[in-house]
Amino acid sequence: MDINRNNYENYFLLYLDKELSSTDGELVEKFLQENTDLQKEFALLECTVFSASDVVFEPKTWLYRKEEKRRVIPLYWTRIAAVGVGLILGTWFILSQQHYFSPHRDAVHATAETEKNKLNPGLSKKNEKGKPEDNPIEKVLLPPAVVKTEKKKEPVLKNPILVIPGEKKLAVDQVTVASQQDLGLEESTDPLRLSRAVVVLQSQHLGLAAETQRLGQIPGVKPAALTLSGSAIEDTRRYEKATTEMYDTTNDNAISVIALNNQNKGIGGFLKKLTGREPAGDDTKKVRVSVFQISY
Amino acid sequence: MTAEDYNNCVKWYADGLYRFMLKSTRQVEDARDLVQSSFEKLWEHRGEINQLKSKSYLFTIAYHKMIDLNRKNSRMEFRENLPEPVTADEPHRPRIKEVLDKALGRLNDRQRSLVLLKDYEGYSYEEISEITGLNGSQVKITLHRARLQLKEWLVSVENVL
Repeated sequence: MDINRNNYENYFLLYLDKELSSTDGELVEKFLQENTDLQKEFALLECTVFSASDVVFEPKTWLYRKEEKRRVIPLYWTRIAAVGVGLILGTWFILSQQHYFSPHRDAVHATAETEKNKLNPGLSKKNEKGKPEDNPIEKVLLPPAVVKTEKKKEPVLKNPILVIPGEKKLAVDQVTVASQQDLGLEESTDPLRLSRAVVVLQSQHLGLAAETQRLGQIPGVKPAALTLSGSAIEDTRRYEKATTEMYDTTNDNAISVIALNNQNKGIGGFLKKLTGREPAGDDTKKVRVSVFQISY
Repeated sequence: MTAEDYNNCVKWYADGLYRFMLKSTRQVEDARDLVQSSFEKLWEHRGEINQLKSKSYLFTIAYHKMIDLNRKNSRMEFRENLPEPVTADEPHRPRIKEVLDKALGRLNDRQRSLVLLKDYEGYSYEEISEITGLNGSQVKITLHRARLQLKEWLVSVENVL
Protein backbone atom coordinates (compact mmCIF):
# COMPACT_ATOMS: atom_id res chain seq x y z
CA MET A 1 0.00 0.00 0.00
CA ASP A 2 1.33 3.35 -0.96
CA ILE A 3 -0.49 6.16 0.88
CA ASN A 4 0.49 9.73 0.08
CA ARG A 5 -1.02 13.20 0.03
CA ASN A 6 -2.64 12.54 -3.34
CA ASN A 7 -4.56 9.43 -2.43
CA TYR A 8 -4.94 9.63 1.35
CA GLU A 9 -8.72 10.29 1.21
CA ASN A 10 -9.43 6.90 -0.38
CA TYR A 11 -7.34 5.16 2.28
CA PHE A 12 -8.95 7.18 5.08
CA LEU A 13 -12.37 5.99 3.89
CA LEU A 14 -11.24 2.38 3.55
CA TYR A 15 -9.76 2.64 7.02
CA LEU A 16 -13.03 3.98 8.44
CA ASP A 17 -14.96 1.27 6.64
CA LYS A 18 -12.64 -1.32 8.19
CA GLU A 19 -11.73 -2.65 4.78
CA LEU A 20 -7.98 -2.50 5.31
CA SER A 21 -5.83 -5.21 6.78
CA SER A 22 -4.23 -4.52 10.16
CA THR A 23 -0.91 -3.83 8.46
CA ASP A 24 -2.44 -1.33 6.07
CA GLY A 25 -4.40 0.20 8.93
CA GLU A 26 -1.19 0.80 10.81
CA LEU A 27 0.27 2.50 7.75
CA VAL A 28 -2.71 4.89 7.67
CA GLU A 29 -2.29 5.67 11.36
CA LYS A 30 1.40 6.30 10.81
CA PHE A 31 0.62 8.57 7.84
CA LEU A 32 -1.76 10.56 10.02
CA GLN A 33 0.83 11.03 12.69
CA GLU A 34 3.26 12.28 10.11
CA ASN A 35 0.71 14.63 8.49
CA THR A 36 -0.99 16.42 11.33
CA ASP A 37 -2.70 18.91 9.00
CA LEU A 38 -4.81 16.09 7.66
CA GLN A 39 -6.03 14.97 11.07
CA LYS A 40 -8.95 17.45 11.04
CA GLU A 41 -10.13 16.13 7.70
CA PHE A 42 -9.83 12.60 9.02
CA ALA A 43 -11.88 13.59 12.08
CA LEU A 44 -14.63 15.00 9.85
CA LEU A 45 -14.76 11.80 7.84
CA GLU A 46 -14.84 9.87 11.08
CA CYS A 47 -17.96 11.85 12.06
CA THR A 48 -19.77 10.43 9.02
CA VAL A 49 -19.63 6.97 10.55
CA PHE A 50 -22.82 6.21 12.38
CA SER A 51 -22.43 4.72 15.78
CA ALA A 52 -24.63 2.00 17.18
CA SER A 53 -28.20 3.01 17.73
CA ASP A 54 -30.52 1.86 20.46
CA VAL A 55 -33.48 1.58 18.13
CA VAL A 56 -35.53 -1.42 19.19
CA PHE A 57 -38.31 -3.25 17.42
CA GLU A 58 -40.77 -3.46 20.27
CA PRO A 59 -43.51 -5.71 18.88
CA LYS A 60 -41.33 -8.78 18.48
CA THR A 61 -44.25 -10.92 19.57
CA TRP A 62 -45.76 -10.20 16.15
CA LEU A 63 -42.90 -12.08 14.60
CA TYR A 64 -42.50 -15.12 16.80
CA ARG A 65 -43.93 -18.31 15.37
CA LYS A 66 -44.76 -21.80 16.47
CA GLU A 67 -44.48 -24.83 14.33
CA GLU A 68 -47.96 -26.01 13.50
CA LYS A 69 -48.44 -29.63 14.36
CA ARG A 70 -49.27 -31.55 11.27
CA ARG A 71 -52.26 -33.79 11.51
CA VAL A 72 -51.09 -37.35 11.25
CA ILE A 73 -53.53 -39.93 10.01
CA PRO A 74 -52.85 -43.19 11.80
CA LEU A 75 -51.45 -45.87 9.58
CA TYR A 76 -54.18 -48.21 10.75
CA TRP A 77 -56.88 -46.16 9.05
CA THR A 78 -54.74 -45.63 6.00
CA ARG A 79 -54.42 -49.36 5.56
CA ILE A 80 -58.12 -49.94 5.98
CA ALA A 81 -58.90 -47.20 3.51
CA ALA A 82 -56.40 -48.60 1.01
CA VAL A 83 -57.84 -52.10 1.30
CA GLY A 84 -61.38 -50.77 0.91
CA VAL A 85 -60.51 -48.78 -2.17
CA GLY A 86 -58.63 -51.75 -3.59
CA LEU A 87 -61.60 -54.04 -3.10
CA ILE A 88 -64.00 -51.61 -4.69
CA LEU A 89 -61.76 -51.05 -7.67
CA GLY A 90 -61.03 -54.76 -8.01
CA THR A 91 -64.71 -55.67 -7.97
CA TRP A 92 -65.53 -53.00 -10.44
CA PHE A 93 -62.71 -54.10 -12.72
CA ILE A 94 -63.73 -57.76 -12.64
CA LEU A 95 -67.36 -56.95 -13.30
CA SER A 96 -66.54 -54.64 -16.13
CA GLN A 97 -64.19 -57.22 -17.65
CA GLN A 98 -66.84 -59.91 -17.44
CA HIS A 99 -69.28 -57.71 -19.21
CA TYR A 100 -66.84 -56.57 -21.83
CA PHE A 101 -65.48 -60.02 -22.64
CA SER A 102 -68.81 -61.74 -22.30
CA PRO A 103 -68.83 -64.77 -24.66
CA HIS A 104 -72.44 -64.04 -25.48
CA ARG A 105 -71.61 -60.55 -26.53
CA ASP A 106 -68.56 -61.31 -28.64
CA ALA A 107 -69.63 -64.62 -30.11
CA VAL A 108 -73.09 -63.51 -31.07
CA HIS A 109 -71.67 -60.58 -32.95
CA ALA A 110 -68.89 -62.59 -34.56
CA THR A 111 -71.13 -65.46 -35.60
CA ALA A 112 -73.87 -63.23 -36.84
CA GLU A 113 -71.38 -61.35 -38.91
CA THR A 114 -69.92 -64.54 -40.36
CA GLU A 115 -73.29 -65.91 -41.26
CA LYS A 116 -74.43 -62.65 -42.72
CA ASN A 117 -71.36 -62.43 -44.93
CA LYS A 118 -71.73 -66.04 -45.97
CA LEU A 119 -75.27 -65.50 -47.13
CA ASN A 120 -74.66 -62.09 -48.64
CA PRO A 121 -71.05 -61.80 -49.78
CA GLY A 122 -71.64 -58.33 -51.13
CA LEU A 123 -72.58 -56.97 -47.77
CA SER A 124 -69.09 -56.30 -46.55
CA LYS A 125 -67.62 -55.23 -49.86
CA LYS A 126 -66.72 -51.66 -50.14
CA ASN A 127 -65.97 -49.59 -53.15
CA GLU A 128 -62.77 -47.62 -53.70
CA LYS A 129 -64.07 -44.65 -51.77
CA GLY A 130 -64.60 -46.83 -48.75
CA LYS A 131 -68.36 -46.80 -49.01
CA PRO A 132 -70.36 -50.02 -49.21
CA GLU A 133 -71.31 -51.07 -52.71
CA ASP A 134 -74.91 -51.30 -53.71
CA ASN A 135 -75.94 -54.91 -53.52
CA PRO A 136 -79.24 -55.94 -55.10
CA ILE A 137 -79.68 -58.85 -52.69
CA GLU A 138 -79.00 -56.60 -49.72
CA LYS A 139 -81.49 -54.13 -51.08
CA VAL A 140 -84.18 -56.76 -51.22
CA LEU A 141 -83.41 -58.61 -48.04
CA LEU A 142 -82.21 -56.02 -45.67
CA PRO A 143 -84.17 -53.09 -44.46
CA PRO A 144 -82.31 -49.88 -43.82
CA ALA A 145 -80.33 -49.99 -40.64
CA VAL A 146 -82.47 -48.53 -37.96
CA VAL A 147 -81.52 -48.41 -34.36
CA LYS A 148 -84.48 -49.48 -32.34
CA THR A 149 -84.44 -49.31 -28.63
CA GLU A 150 -87.86 -50.55 -27.69
CA LYS A 151 -88.43 -54.27 -27.51
CA LYS A 152 -90.71 -55.81 -30.04
CA LYS A 153 -92.90 -58.83 -29.61
CA GLU A 154 -90.63 -61.71 -28.69
CA PRO A 155 -91.24 -64.92 -30.71
CA VAL A 156 -91.16 -68.10 -28.71
CA LEU A 157 -89.62 -71.47 -29.54
CA LYS A 158 -91.96 -74.26 -28.66
CA ASN A 159 -90.62 -77.08 -26.55
CA PRO A 160 -87.01 -77.19 -27.54
CA ILE A 161 -84.86 -79.53 -25.51
CA LEU A 162 -81.37 -78.70 -24.55
CA VAL A 163 -78.95 -81.36 -23.52
CA ILE A 164 -76.11 -79.97 -21.53
CA PRO A 165 -72.84 -81.87 -21.21
CA GLY A 166 -72.82 -84.10 -18.20
CA GLU A 167 -76.08 -85.70 -19.20
CA LYS A 168 -78.06 -82.86 -17.77
CA LYS A 169 -81.34 -82.38 -19.54
CA LEU A 170 -83.00 -79.13 -19.61
CA ALA A 171 -86.40 -78.53 -21.07
CA VAL A 172 -86.99 -74.96 -21.76
CA ASP A 173 -90.55 -73.88 -22.00
CA GLN A 174 -89.84 -70.60 -23.46
CA VAL A 175 -86.80 -69.51 -25.30
CA THR A 176 -86.59 -65.90 -25.87
CA VAL A 177 -85.65 -65.00 -29.37
CA ALA A 178 -84.65 -61.45 -29.24
CA SER A 179 -82.80 -58.85 -31.16
CA GLN A 180 -83.92 -59.88 -34.56
CA GLN A 181 -83.63 -56.28 -35.57
CA ASP A 182 -80.13 -56.02 -34.21
CA LEU A 183 -78.82 -58.03 -37.11
CA GLY A 184 -80.39 -55.69 -39.56
CA LEU A 185 -82.18 -58.54 -41.31
CA GLU A 186 -85.76 -59.14 -42.12
CA GLU A 187 -88.00 -58.87 -39.19
CA SER A 188 -89.93 -62.03 -38.41
CA THR A 189 -93.54 -61.95 -37.52
CA ASP A 190 -93.95 -65.67 -36.94
CA PRO A 191 -92.33 -67.62 -34.14
CA LEU A 192 -89.50 -69.81 -35.30
CA ARG A 193 -90.85 -73.29 -35.50
CA LEU A 194 -88.41 -75.46 -33.72
CA SER A 195 -90.79 -77.91 -32.21
CA ARG A 196 -88.84 -80.83 -33.61
CA ALA A 197 -85.45 -79.38 -33.21
CA VAL A 198 -83.09 -80.70 -30.67
CA VAL A 199 -80.12 -78.69 -29.80
CA VAL A 200 -77.14 -80.42 -28.32
CA LEU A 201 -74.62 -78.13 -26.89
CA GLN A 202 -71.13 -78.70 -25.71
CA SER A 203 -68.43 -76.29 -24.95
CA GLN A 204 -66.05 -78.10 -27.29
CA HIS A 205 -66.87 -78.90 -30.85
CA LEU A 206 -68.46 -82.26 -31.51
CA GLY A 207 -67.99 -84.89 -34.09
CA LEU A 208 -70.93 -85.78 -36.24
CA ALA A 209 -71.26 -89.33 -34.88
CA ALA A 210 -71.20 -88.27 -31.30
CA GLU A 211 -73.78 -85.68 -32.01
CA THR A 212 -76.15 -88.10 -33.64
CA GLN A 213 -75.69 -90.67 -30.92
CA ARG A 214 -76.41 -88.15 -28.28
CA LEU A 215 -79.53 -87.03 -30.03
CA GLY A 216 -80.66 -90.59 -30.29
CA GLN A 217 -80.54 -91.01 -26.56
CA ILE A 218 -83.16 -88.45 -26.00
CA PRO A 219 -86.48 -90.23 -25.65
CA GLY A 220 -89.31 -89.03 -27.78
CA VAL A 221 -87.16 -86.84 -29.92
CA LYS A 222 -86.75 -87.40 -33.56
CA PRO A 223 -83.18 -86.57 -34.50
CA ALA A 224 -82.51 -84.31 -37.36
CA ALA A 225 -79.73 -84.64 -39.85
CA LEU A 226 -76.63 -83.00 -38.57
CA THR A 227 -73.66 -81.50 -40.23
CA LEU A 228 -70.84 -79.41 -39.03
CA SER A 229 -69.54 -76.65 -41.16
CA GLY A 230 -65.82 -76.06 -41.38
CA SER A 231 -66.01 -72.41 -40.66
CA ALA A 232 -68.16 -73.11 -37.68
CA ILE A 233 -65.55 -75.48 -36.32
CA GLU A 234 -62.96 -72.79 -36.68
CA ASP A 235 -65.25 -70.50 -34.82
CA THR A 236 -65.75 -73.19 -32.23
CA ARG A 237 -62.06 -73.34 -31.57
CA ARG A 238 -61.74 -69.68 -31.47
CA TYR A 239 -64.71 -68.90 -29.37
CA GLU A 240 -65.06 -72.19 -27.50
CA LYS A 241 -68.58 -72.74 -28.54
CA ALA A 242 -70.52 -75.67 -29.88
CA THR A 243 -71.84 -75.34 -33.36
CA THR A 244 -74.57 -77.47 -34.81
CA GLU A 245 -76.26 -77.08 -38.10
CA MET A 246 -79.49 -78.94 -38.62
CA TYR A 247 -81.52 -79.36 -41.71
CA ASP A 248 -85.13 -80.06 -41.74
CA THR A 249 -85.32 -82.32 -44.77
CA THR A 250 -89.07 -82.45 -44.86
CA ASN A 251 -89.73 -78.88 -45.76
CA ASP A 252 -86.26 -78.07 -47.05
CA ASN A 253 -85.89 -75.39 -44.55
CA ALA A 254 -82.56 -75.04 -42.87
CA ILE A 255 -82.00 -74.08 -39.32
CA SER A 256 -78.61 -73.34 -37.98
CA VAL A 257 -78.15 -73.20 -34.29
CA ILE A 258 -74.89 -71.84 -33.28
CA ALA A 259 -74.66 -72.04 -29.57
CA LEU A 260 -72.27 -69.95 -27.65
CA ASN A 261 -70.96 -70.60 -24.23
CA ASN A 262 -72.85 -72.93 -22.01
CA GLN A 263 -71.06 -71.62 -18.98
CA ASN A 264 -72.26 -69.17 -16.43
CA LYS A 265 -75.72 -70.70 -16.49
CA GLY A 266 -76.51 -69.23 -19.80
CA ILE A 267 -76.51 -70.05 -23.47
CA GLY A 268 -76.53 -67.57 -26.23
CA GLY A 269 -77.05 -68.44 -29.81
CA PHE A 270 -77.73 -67.52 -33.34
CA LEU A 271 -80.59 -68.96 -35.30
CA LYS A 272 -80.80 -68.91 -39.02
CA LYS A 273 -83.69 -70.11 -41.06
CA LEU A 274 -83.97 -70.29 -44.80
CA THR A 275 -87.54 -70.08 -45.86
CA GLY A 276 -89.57 -69.77 -48.98
CA ARG A 277 -87.08 -70.74 -51.64
CA GLU A 278 -87.98 -69.07 -54.85
CA PRO A 279 -88.05 -70.77 -58.25
CA ALA A 280 -84.75 -71.50 -59.96
CA GLY A 281 -83.24 -68.50 -61.66
CA ASP A 282 -84.20 -66.19 -58.91
CA ASP A 283 -81.35 -65.65 -56.51
CA THR A 284 -83.39 -64.04 -53.81
CA LYS A 285 -83.80 -65.98 -50.63
CA LYS A 286 -85.62 -65.10 -47.53
CA VAL A 287 -83.49 -65.42 -44.51
CA ARG A 288 -84.55 -65.02 -40.96
CA VAL A 289 -81.84 -64.61 -38.45
CA SER A 290 -82.38 -64.31 -34.77
CA VAL A 291 -80.25 -64.12 -31.74
CA PHE A 292 -81.38 -66.02 -28.71
CA GLN A 293 -80.41 -65.92 -25.13
CA ILE A 294 -81.27 -68.64 -22.64
CA SER A 295 -80.63 -68.49 -18.97
CA TYR A 296 -81.10 -71.49 -16.68
CA MET B 1 -34.29 -24.00 9.81
CA THR B 2 -36.61 -24.96 12.62
CA ALA B 3 -39.18 -22.75 14.32
CA GLU B 4 -36.73 -22.32 17.16
CA ASP B 5 -34.01 -21.17 14.76
CA TYR B 6 -36.46 -18.76 13.22
CA ASN B 7 -37.42 -17.33 16.60
CA ASN B 8 -33.74 -16.89 17.38
CA CYS B 9 -33.45 -14.89 14.18
CA VAL B 10 -36.26 -12.65 15.41
CA LYS B 11 -34.46 -12.16 18.69
CA TRP B 12 -31.10 -11.41 17.09
CA TYR B 13 -31.96 -9.52 13.91
CA ALA B 14 -35.34 -7.82 14.35
CA ASP B 15 -33.86 -4.72 16.00
CA GLY B 16 -31.15 -4.30 13.41
CA LEU B 17 -33.55 -4.83 10.54
CA TYR B 18 -36.01 -2.39 12.01
CA ARG B 19 -33.30 0.22 12.48
CA PHE B 20 -32.21 -0.27 8.89
CA MET B 21 -35.75 0.13 7.64
CA LEU B 22 -36.54 3.04 9.93
CA LYS B 23 -33.46 4.97 8.89
CA SER B 24 -34.18 4.15 5.26
CA THR B 25 -37.87 4.97 5.15
CA ARG B 26 -38.06 7.38 8.11
CA GLN B 27 -41.59 6.09 8.61
CA VAL B 28 -42.32 3.99 11.67
CA GLU B 29 -45.28 2.16 10.15
CA ASP B 30 -43.54 1.48 6.87
CA ALA B 31 -40.51 0.20 8.73
CA ARG B 32 -42.60 -2.13 10.84
CA ASP B 33 -44.48 -3.41 7.83
CA LEU B 34 -41.26 -4.10 6.00
CA VAL B 35 -39.79 -5.93 8.98
CA GLN B 36 -42.89 -8.02 9.34
CA SER B 37 -43.10 -8.92 5.67
CA SER B 38 -39.40 -9.79 5.60
CA PHE B 39 -39.76 -12.16 8.53
CA GLU B 40 -42.90 -13.56 6.94
CA LYS B 41 -40.86 -14.42 3.88
CA LEU B 42 -38.16 -15.98 6.01
CA TRP B 43 -40.77 -18.13 7.74
CA GLU B 44 -42.23 -19.26 4.44
CA HIS B 45 -38.83 -20.29 3.12
CA ARG B 46 -37.35 -21.52 6.37
CA GLY B 47 -37.01 -25.00 4.93
CA GLU B 48 -34.62 -23.79 2.25
CA ILE B 49 -32.57 -21.28 4.23
CA ASN B 50 -29.60 -22.04 6.40
CA GLN B 51 -29.64 -20.14 9.65
CA LEU B 52 -26.16 -18.82 8.95
CA LYS B 53 -27.51 -17.07 5.87
CA SER B 54 -30.70 -15.90 7.49
CA LYS B 55 -29.46 -12.42 8.41
CA SER B 56 -28.28 -11.53 4.94
CA TYR B 57 -31.48 -13.09 3.56
CA LEU B 58 -33.58 -10.84 5.78
CA PHE B 59 -31.63 -7.72 4.88
CA THR B 60 -31.72 -8.58 1.19
CA ILE B 61 -35.49 -9.03 1.25
CA ALA B 62 -36.00 -5.89 3.31
CA TYR B 63 -33.68 -3.80 1.13
CA HIS B 64 -35.48 -4.70 -2.09
CA LYS B 65 -38.88 -4.24 -0.51
CA MET B 66 -37.85 -0.84 0.74
CA ILE B 67 -36.54 0.21 -2.68
CA ASP B 68 -39.80 -0.93 -4.26
CA LEU B 69 -41.84 0.91 -1.67
CA ASN B 70 -39.92 4.13 -2.13
CA ARG B 71 -40.24 3.92 -5.87
CA LYS B 72 -43.92 3.23 -5.58
CA ASN B 73 -44.68 6.04 -3.21
CA SER B 74 -42.14 8.50 -4.60
CA ARG B 75 -41.63 9.74 -1.12
CA MET B 76 -38.19 11.09 -1.74
CA GLU B 77 -39.49 14.51 -2.76
CA PHE B 78 -41.32 15.29 0.43
CA ARG B 79 -39.33 13.28 2.90
CA GLU B 80 -37.13 16.20 3.85
CA ASN B 81 -40.13 18.08 5.16
CA LEU B 82 -41.28 15.27 7.37
CA PRO B 83 -40.54 15.55 11.06
CA GLU B 84 -38.01 13.25 12.59
CA PRO B 85 -39.49 9.87 13.40
CA VAL B 86 -40.36 9.24 16.98
CA THR B 87 -38.07 6.52 18.18
CA ALA B 88 -36.87 5.22 21.47
CA ASP B 89 -33.81 7.41 21.18
CA GLU B 90 -33.04 9.87 23.91
CA PRO B 91 -34.72 13.26 23.41
CA HIS B 92 -31.48 15.22 23.94
CA ARG B 93 -29.12 13.77 21.48
CA PRO B 94 -25.84 15.36 20.77
CA ARG B 95 -26.04 17.93 18.01
CA ILE B 96 -23.67 16.07 15.72
CA LYS B 97 -25.92 13.05 15.71
CA GLU B 98 -28.90 15.20 14.91
CA VAL B 99 -27.12 16.88 12.03
CA LEU B 100 -25.86 13.58 10.78
CA ASP B 101 -29.33 12.05 10.83
CA LYS B 102 -30.57 15.00 8.85
CA ALA B 103 -27.71 14.59 6.42
CA LEU B 104 -28.56 10.93 6.04
CA GLY B 105 -31.99 11.95 4.81
CA ARG B 106 -30.37 13.93 2.02
CA LEU B 107 -28.66 10.92 0.56
CA ASN B 108 -30.36 8.88 -2.10
CA ASP B 109 -31.81 5.47 -1.28
CA ARG B 110 -28.81 3.50 -2.42
CA GLN B 111 -26.25 5.67 -0.64
CA ARG B 112 -28.23 5.69 2.58
CA SER B 113 -28.74 1.93 2.53
CA LEU B 114 -25.07 1.30 1.99
CA VAL B 115 -24.06 3.61 4.85
CA LEU B 116 -26.54 1.94 7.17
CA LEU B 117 -25.51 -1.57 6.20
CA LYS B 118 -21.88 -0.64 6.67
CA ASP B 119 -22.09 1.32 9.90
CA TYR B 120 -24.95 -0.30 11.78
CA GLU B 121 -24.66 -3.86 10.61
CA GLY B 122 -20.94 -3.94 9.95
CA TYR B 123 -21.23 -5.70 6.62
CA SER B 124 -18.19 -5.83 4.37
CA TYR B 125 -18.27 -4.45 0.84
CA GLU B 126 -18.64 -7.99 -0.45
CA GLU B 127 -21.61 -8.75 1.79
CA ILE B 128 -23.24 -5.45 0.90
CA SER B 129 -22.84 -6.28 -2.77
CA GLU B 130 -24.62 -9.58 -2.19
CA ILE B 131 -27.49 -7.87 -0.41
CA THR B 132 -27.94 -5.00 -2.80
CA GLY B 133 -27.00 -6.72 -6.02
CA LEU B 134 -24.32 -4.14 -6.78
CA ASN B 135 -20.79 -5.17 -7.59
CA GLY B 136 -17.88 -4.53 -5.21
CA SER B 137 -16.61 -1.47 -7.03
CA GLN B 138 -20.04 0.12 -7.11
CA VAL B 139 -20.43 -0.46 -3.40
CA LYS B 140 -17.08 1.11 -2.62
CA ILE B 141 -17.54 4.11 -4.87
CA THR B 142 -21.12 4.73 -3.74
CA LEU B 143 -20.18 4.46 -0.10
CA HIS B 144 -17.20 6.79 -0.44
CA ARG B 145 -19.28 9.37 -2.26
CA ALA B 146 -21.92 9.14 0.42
CA ARG B 147 -19.37 9.79 3.17
CA LEU B 148 -17.90 12.73 1.30
CA GLN B 149 -21.41 14.15 0.90
CA LEU B 150 -22.03 13.73 4.60
CA LYS B 151 -18.76 15.44 5.37
CA GLU B 152 -19.65 18.35 3.09
CA TRP B 153 -22.99 18.65 4.86
CA LEU B 154 -21.33 18.71 8.26
CA VAL B 155 -18.96 21.50 7.30
CA SER B 156 -21.45 23.56 5.35
CA VAL B 157 -22.15 27.06 6.60
CA GLU B 158 -25.44 26.34 8.33
CA ASN B 159 -24.18 23.17 9.97
CA VAL B 160 -20.78 24.31 11.01
CA LEU B 161 -19.75 22.34 14.05
